[in-house]
Amino acid sequence: MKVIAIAKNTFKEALRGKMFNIMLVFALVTIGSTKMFSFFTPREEMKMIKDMGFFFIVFFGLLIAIFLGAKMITEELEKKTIYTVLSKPVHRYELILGKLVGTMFALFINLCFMSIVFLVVLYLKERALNFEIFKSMFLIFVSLSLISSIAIMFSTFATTTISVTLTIFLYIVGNIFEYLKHLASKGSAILKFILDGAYYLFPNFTNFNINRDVIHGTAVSGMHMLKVTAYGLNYIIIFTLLAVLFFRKREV
Amino acid sequence: MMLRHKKIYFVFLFIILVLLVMVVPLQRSIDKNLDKMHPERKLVTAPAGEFLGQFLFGFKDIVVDLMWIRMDYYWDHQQQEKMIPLYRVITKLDPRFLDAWTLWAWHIGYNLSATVKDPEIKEKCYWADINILKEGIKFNQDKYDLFFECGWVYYHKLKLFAEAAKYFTLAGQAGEAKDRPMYVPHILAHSYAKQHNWQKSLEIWESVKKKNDENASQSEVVERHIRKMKKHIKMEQMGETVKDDMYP
Repeated sequence: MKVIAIAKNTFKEALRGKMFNIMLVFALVTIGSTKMFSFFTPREEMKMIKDMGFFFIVFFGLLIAIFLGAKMITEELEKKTIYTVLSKPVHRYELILGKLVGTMFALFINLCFMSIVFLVVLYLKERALNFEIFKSMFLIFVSLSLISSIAIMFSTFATTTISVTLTIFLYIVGNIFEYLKHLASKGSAILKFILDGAYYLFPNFTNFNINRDVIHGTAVSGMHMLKVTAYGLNYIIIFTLLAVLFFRKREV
Repeated sequence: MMLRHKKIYFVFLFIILVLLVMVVPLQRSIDKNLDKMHPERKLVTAPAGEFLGQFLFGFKDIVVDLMWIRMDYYWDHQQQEKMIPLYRVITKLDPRFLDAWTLWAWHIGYNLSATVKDPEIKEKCYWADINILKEGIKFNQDKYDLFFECGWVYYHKLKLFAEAAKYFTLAGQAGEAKDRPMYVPHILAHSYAKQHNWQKSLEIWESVKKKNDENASQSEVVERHIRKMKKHIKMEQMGETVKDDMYP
């Protein structure tokens, strides 16, 4: 119950942070982009519209996940509102969990809005609905939830700027691990051991990206979706546990 | 109290460790799936596209689109020489982008070849066209498009009808039937007829007829070809020479 109350408050805070303005920008850009590529052949035009749509969904989603998550604890500490919360019978893990659930709900609402605009635009163009897009949206949601859990974890011990920087760094690293792993296979045994270890230790964000498959019509099996979701949830739990550990250690 | 805190601390660390151990088989299994879905993943070597793509942090599709828009600018401004390196990068970044492969091959096989007079160089252009398409086919086995384009260059430019028939057959088998246009089996029948294999051509026309009974205008064309093939088979059986402008 306490977790839900904190989550509700976090969501309201996200709304106060002009989250819906970003959605409006997305809606306008997506609708505008349908007219931008009409000089291409219909197939190219559809590819461009879908690419643009996914790009803006991921990009704005990333912004919301990182900035909302990174300021979660730090801002509460700076404004001293955290003392009011913690002076009540609220466990620290409940606070972290509430913040995470609230952020995930804000991301969910944001993604729902963007997906609806995107689907309407695609329907108006193709006169058909491609339900495979939902698979992509779902994995985007899982990856954004993971990013916000990382940002929340960093915000338990660092300032907002450092949390944002570290989260972006982890996102970048999580996107190039496949290459680093390949590089390691050609290097020394020690390098291979280190990079192989890092490949399994840090979240690999390329796992969540099936946008290209959806655009090109490559079949994405339900089992693959299940595995990637389990992978994402696994890391969300890890980072939430780490956040609770760090926050318990922090003197507040 | 201190002991209780320590206990919780170790329990948390233990759970994290267990979850991290669980990640290993999960990631390996995901890798296997991804290798099947993206054969290009095995090409993660510099300066291959996967290498470049990784350094675009999940935003490579938008970079491909921006390059494609630039390509249109070069085309409009008659700067075709600048398009070739872009085609290379685009197809490396997104090997599933069919239009990039087909247009690249078309520029070489049709536009560039038209600017040269030497027949040897012209033929080299056609082969370069074929090689581009074959490279694209490696990544797009489930789409008819590139098989068809490849068959068409063999048919139209190189006049190698046996090879053309091979690729049109593959085009007829790739992907789902609803995605393939009706002209795929038609052109396959023509390539057999070009080889004077009237029987095989007849078989294909008859199978087309079975599938497209409801399309009146098409069935008229199909009927005409069936009559023609039957006539040619009869003529051959009687030892007569078949004279046909379409299939010299």
